[in-house]
Amino acid sequence: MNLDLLAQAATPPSFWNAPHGSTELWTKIIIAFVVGIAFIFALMAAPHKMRRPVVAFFTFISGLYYVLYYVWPVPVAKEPGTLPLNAAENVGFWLTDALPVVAKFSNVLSGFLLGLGIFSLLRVHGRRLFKMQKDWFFSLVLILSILLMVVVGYWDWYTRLDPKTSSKLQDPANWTSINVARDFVFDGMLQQMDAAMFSLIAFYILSAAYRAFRVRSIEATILLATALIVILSLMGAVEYLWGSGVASMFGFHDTVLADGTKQTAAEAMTAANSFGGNFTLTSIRGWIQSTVQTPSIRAIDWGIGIGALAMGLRLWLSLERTSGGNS
Amino acid sequence: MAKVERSLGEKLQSLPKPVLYTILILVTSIPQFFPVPLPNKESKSSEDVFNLLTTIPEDQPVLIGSDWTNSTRGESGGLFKSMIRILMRRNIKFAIYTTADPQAPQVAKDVIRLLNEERKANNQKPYEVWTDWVSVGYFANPEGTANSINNNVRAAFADKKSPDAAGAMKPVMDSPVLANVKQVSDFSALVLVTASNTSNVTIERVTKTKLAMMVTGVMGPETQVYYESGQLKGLAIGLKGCYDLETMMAKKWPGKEYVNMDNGAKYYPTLHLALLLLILAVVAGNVGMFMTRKRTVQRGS
Amino acid sequence: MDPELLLKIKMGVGVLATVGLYSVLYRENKFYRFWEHMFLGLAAGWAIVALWTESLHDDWYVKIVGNAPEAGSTAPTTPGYWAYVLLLPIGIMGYFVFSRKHNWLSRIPIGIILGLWSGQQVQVWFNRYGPQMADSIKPILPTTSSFFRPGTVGMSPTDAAAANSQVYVSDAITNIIFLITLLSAVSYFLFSVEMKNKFLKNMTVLGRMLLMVGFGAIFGSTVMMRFTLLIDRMYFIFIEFLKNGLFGGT
Repeated sequence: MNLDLLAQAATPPSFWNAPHGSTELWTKIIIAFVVGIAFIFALMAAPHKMRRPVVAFFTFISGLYYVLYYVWPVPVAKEPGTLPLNAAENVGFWLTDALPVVAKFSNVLSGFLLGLGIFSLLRVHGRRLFKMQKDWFFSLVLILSILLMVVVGYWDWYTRLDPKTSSKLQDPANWTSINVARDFVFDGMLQQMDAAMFSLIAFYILSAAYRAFRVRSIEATILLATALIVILSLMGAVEYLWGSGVASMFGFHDTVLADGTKQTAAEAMTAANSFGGNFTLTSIRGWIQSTVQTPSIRAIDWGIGIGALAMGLRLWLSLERTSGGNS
Repeated sequence: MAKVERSLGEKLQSLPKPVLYTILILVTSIPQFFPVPLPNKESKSSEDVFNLLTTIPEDQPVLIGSDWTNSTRGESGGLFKSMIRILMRRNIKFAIYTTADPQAPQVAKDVIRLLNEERKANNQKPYEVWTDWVSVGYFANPEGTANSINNNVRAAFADKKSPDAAGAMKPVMDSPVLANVKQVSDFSALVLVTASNTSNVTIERVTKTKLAMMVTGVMGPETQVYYESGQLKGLAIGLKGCYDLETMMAKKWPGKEYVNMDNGAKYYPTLHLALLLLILAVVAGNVGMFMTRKRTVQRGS
Repeated sequence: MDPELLLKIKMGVGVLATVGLYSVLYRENKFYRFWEHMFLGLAAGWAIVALWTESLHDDWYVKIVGNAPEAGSTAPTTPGYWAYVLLLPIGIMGYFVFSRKHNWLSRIPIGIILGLWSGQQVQVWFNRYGPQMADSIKPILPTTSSFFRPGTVGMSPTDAAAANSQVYVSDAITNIIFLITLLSAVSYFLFSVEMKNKFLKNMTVLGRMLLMVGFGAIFGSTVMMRFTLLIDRMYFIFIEFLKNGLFGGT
């Protein structure tokens, strides 16, 4: 079983492909598109009770591929041209070959669905603008910003498609006005606003910590103490000075080794495997990290993982109440 | 109406927001005018990233997942630049792909352009697109893409194009960077610079090559779990990880022609003061609470 | 235009946008809303551009129509795979979410994506958690009476390997704490129903306390990130723009 549809390299013409620019290809493309649209109309006319099974069917089939891929024996390292020995191996080969195609399907489909958010944004703000509702001016700003970015973004991309100019445009000195405009809008505006928007949280986190971080219970005390140790260990200078202080308490000092390299007191303490090495901030933080922090976060992670696994099975089998057709 | 006199404890707990915000702005801006080199104790996980990047073979390319934008420029930008500088110094080819954000490929290209300008200024050969590095572009579905990369990386990237040395758009797999790559294990490592959930997606699916990550501070503790279990061969976390890498780079490449200290060195001293401010704010709030509580108890008795 | 001047204008606009967005810290205002909407618009605009230029153009459009090699190239013409066009109607179904009558159609493409995700869950669960489970199985009985692990500096490789292979009393205690933390925290998640068993009850209480260590670490790390992003903005405004840009400092 081999579908040319799944071929990734140049292949001889078949039912699934046609030469670039040929009438045959365009005819097939148009027919496929019309069939796809007809399928939508057919679904629109489908009876109400069919809705849930249709959605469940598509969900199940999509999930089935990956389930089969994992449970069916698939070749470990299949070279191009390797032939299957039997029917079971044939299926394994097909599953392996299909994986990049399934990934491509999911990428393309996700791409189309990401456009949904943008469409929704345009719909809401377009309506507000044309009806001149409250704050229509901000909707105008939003729509103009979308248009501005789309125009300069595509124009810049288009100039880079031309082989004659593409290589030159790697150097900003050769940029034309549209390349400069794209850089101005993308790097000078969007990226700066992106950074500003996300940095705002620093203010809120300080304010929240100041107002709410109180030692009112054992749990809060443990949380605060751990946070303090982690914060101190993130301050390299504090970590360094703490280590030096502990080392000097245990009788170690900065030295120059025989080969001329400098050894700090903390390094000398570590090299001598002194008991004091257990009291550096690095050691305390490291011990907490690997002995208590890791298993506690691992437990949270497992909890989430078990939930995700259960949710995955429920979604695949359409057992979730929200999946399926709307009533 | 008589004005109610507030106790010191109450005052300590009710510093107005504008005052708090102004102090934060001052603490995070003024120290930047007075940069000071700070001593550092590199963390083990950062050392492992550095050792990985400095010991991988020069004739094998590195696959880089660049899933960050300027929203985390302070951390991810510094980490990304350190990694690219190391690879460029070692003449290691690399391919960059993105699964998290449509902005990320352009951000990565812009950073590489700036690093090339830096190399030119230091009389070093710029890294040429197609010959030395390629951008594979954006994939909208992280799960399917990671699976596909692990299973058949040639097929996963087959349809992606990049301008070649002459400017013609050609399949990325034909580039000198990826021409010898048959499977994902032909990359010496996959290093993911991420500010999103793609860290988990990649750990779950890419198992056939060495994995290392550079993540933001928020993601640090949860990603540390995978480093502890050996699923990650190295992990650089946030600004501390960035400063760790820069410190190690400065030790390995002390020459003046090398730019080692960047975001980490610029921001790390200021971070100390900002964190100190947070500690003081929390201490003030708690001292205020205890003082108020004590006063209430005394009044009651 | 002079590139230096253009760079200063570009940075100036970035600073203005930053200040505009920061003005929300005082209160919600029109200046903030202007920049907020511009930010949303530019981000949405770039998503439209990049979805096509970085993804759909190569992955979908060129795949459907194929392409001819560049002039002078000996590479063969790539044929078009027409069946990929069927993804467009499936994608269009997603947009029926806005239709009152036929919004159920939008659940087909979403169901496909969810199906593909859910089908992967069993395998990814083991890839993700399998090595963690293996790493969590730690020895809790010491193999030597020595309390601390000795230093191996100066030892021969054979002696160092022998010393490192032992489970010291301190290691065993550490491993016991690790396991108690893991089991109690897991029990906190798994036994979230009301319990009569005193041991399990105490385990979940202990689990809740030990989870705080994890949350404390997450908080500490989060603070570092958030402050770093702010420091980066301040660096942009005060050093890159004001000091180096406007006043030409170095």
